[in-house]
Amino acid sequence: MKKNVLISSCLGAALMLGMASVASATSTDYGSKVDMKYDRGARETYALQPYQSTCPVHIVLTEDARQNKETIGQSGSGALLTGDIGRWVADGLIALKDYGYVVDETSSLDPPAAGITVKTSLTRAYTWHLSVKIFSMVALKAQFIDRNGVLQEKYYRAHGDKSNMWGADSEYVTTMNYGLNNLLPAVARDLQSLCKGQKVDAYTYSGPEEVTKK
Amino acid sequence: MRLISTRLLRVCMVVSMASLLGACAVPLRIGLKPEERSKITALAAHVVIVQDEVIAAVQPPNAGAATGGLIGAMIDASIANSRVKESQQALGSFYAVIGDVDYRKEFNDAIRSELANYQIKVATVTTTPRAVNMDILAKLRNQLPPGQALLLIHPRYSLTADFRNFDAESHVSIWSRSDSPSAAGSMNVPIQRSVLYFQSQPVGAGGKKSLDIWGAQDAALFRSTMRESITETLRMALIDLDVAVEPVAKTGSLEEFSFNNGTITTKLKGQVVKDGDTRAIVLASDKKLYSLARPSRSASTAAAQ
Repeated sequence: MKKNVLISSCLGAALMLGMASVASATSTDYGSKVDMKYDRGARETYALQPYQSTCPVHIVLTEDARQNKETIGQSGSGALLTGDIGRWVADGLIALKDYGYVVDETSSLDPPAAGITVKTSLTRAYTWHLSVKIFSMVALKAQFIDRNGVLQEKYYRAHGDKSNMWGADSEYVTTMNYGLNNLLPAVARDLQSLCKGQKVDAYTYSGPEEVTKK
Repeated sequence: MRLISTRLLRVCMVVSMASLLGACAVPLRIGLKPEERSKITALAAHVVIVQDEVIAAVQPPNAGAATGGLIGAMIDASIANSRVKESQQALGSFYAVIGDVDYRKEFNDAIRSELANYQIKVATVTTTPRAVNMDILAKLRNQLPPGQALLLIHPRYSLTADFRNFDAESHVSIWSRSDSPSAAGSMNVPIQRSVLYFQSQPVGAGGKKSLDIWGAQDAALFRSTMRESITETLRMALIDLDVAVEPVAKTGSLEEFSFNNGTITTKLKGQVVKDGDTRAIVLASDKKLYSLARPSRSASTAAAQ
């Protein structure tokens, strides 16, 4: 009836038939534990141009607030197991230095003497298939704190996509990094206003094309 | 150049693998034979819900089938990309409203109460986001106590590509212990298998207009429809064992129902196996069991035409 349903059905059948796939991750008795490492080079397009005028940015370790903290989806070999991936997001936010910001890590939620403290919680991080593509989704709630206290709360979503070359579990991590790296330009752009004490839109969605729209 | 060629070859391999998988040999619907039923004293229910939230059932184009080969696959991938981007852009603000919706928890809560009425005693229920592969399936079957069988339920849910309908499709199968081959004679064939498909009433005119309705008042309609889909799926599961393998036309023909495939509204033929005030459960010609909204049912039957 629908091709995507057929593909999904056959993927399910493939799982039942024990289709082998290339897995670079650690095998467990219930899927593969994937290595969720942030990769600033995993980008769909290269259009990074540092902003000239910035302020210091202080990153608080991201809270993993996903409903499902166990997986980021499934590959041909089974569940893609993760555990807490707050570090992965925080490492991505630290890469805001690529946009010209001076970035450090902090555990303090007190108003900073200078710049903006960014407190985040990850609400979604998953992958799915369509045709021969892998797609990823990253959703993040952010709280921006300046010297006067909480300046704004904001919600970000971004997706990434790549062709499924090998069916390797590492490709799903790469696709997740695509999603996170598609989200960062929106944060970097918002910080331009937030650094000046100005509020921004309460919600931003960004896909691959957002990277070139700075 | 060499890198590009290598990548194209990889994509081609993936496409070829997908084509091979298209020849799924296991029948879509397998009835539970009385001799198998009599051996089961209890079931261990294992519910696998991989999805973390609703997605749009974006349909990939079919250029691959039309043109064949690598070029068609690449065109497919490119168009699929574009369609997903469009749908994700449209869904963005809707997702913000349903951030707290937890289909997995809703399903888990419902199945624990509903399966108390199942024809076979359900001894345990496990709900997990972890996909099952062949090794896990074997492990789950091997650890069954004597007399127990494994009830595997794999729901997926989506909004149709035009956002008008909420769909939920569940693959359900019952597996005996792996040292107890089924009557079908194969260790890797379930002793029962079916596909249960829920489609909601259509909402709105499609696109953003439909999303606005789904998302209004803290997504009240979306939340209630999602719960309805779970209830209906379990309702279908409860009667499934009594439903024939194929539809039977009592009056010489099968009834027709409207069905939104995300692009157009098509006709779906089938036998009504349970009728209600608002919905009907239908065994369709494709051997899937559907729960369809009654107002969408065509008043006429194929015979009347």
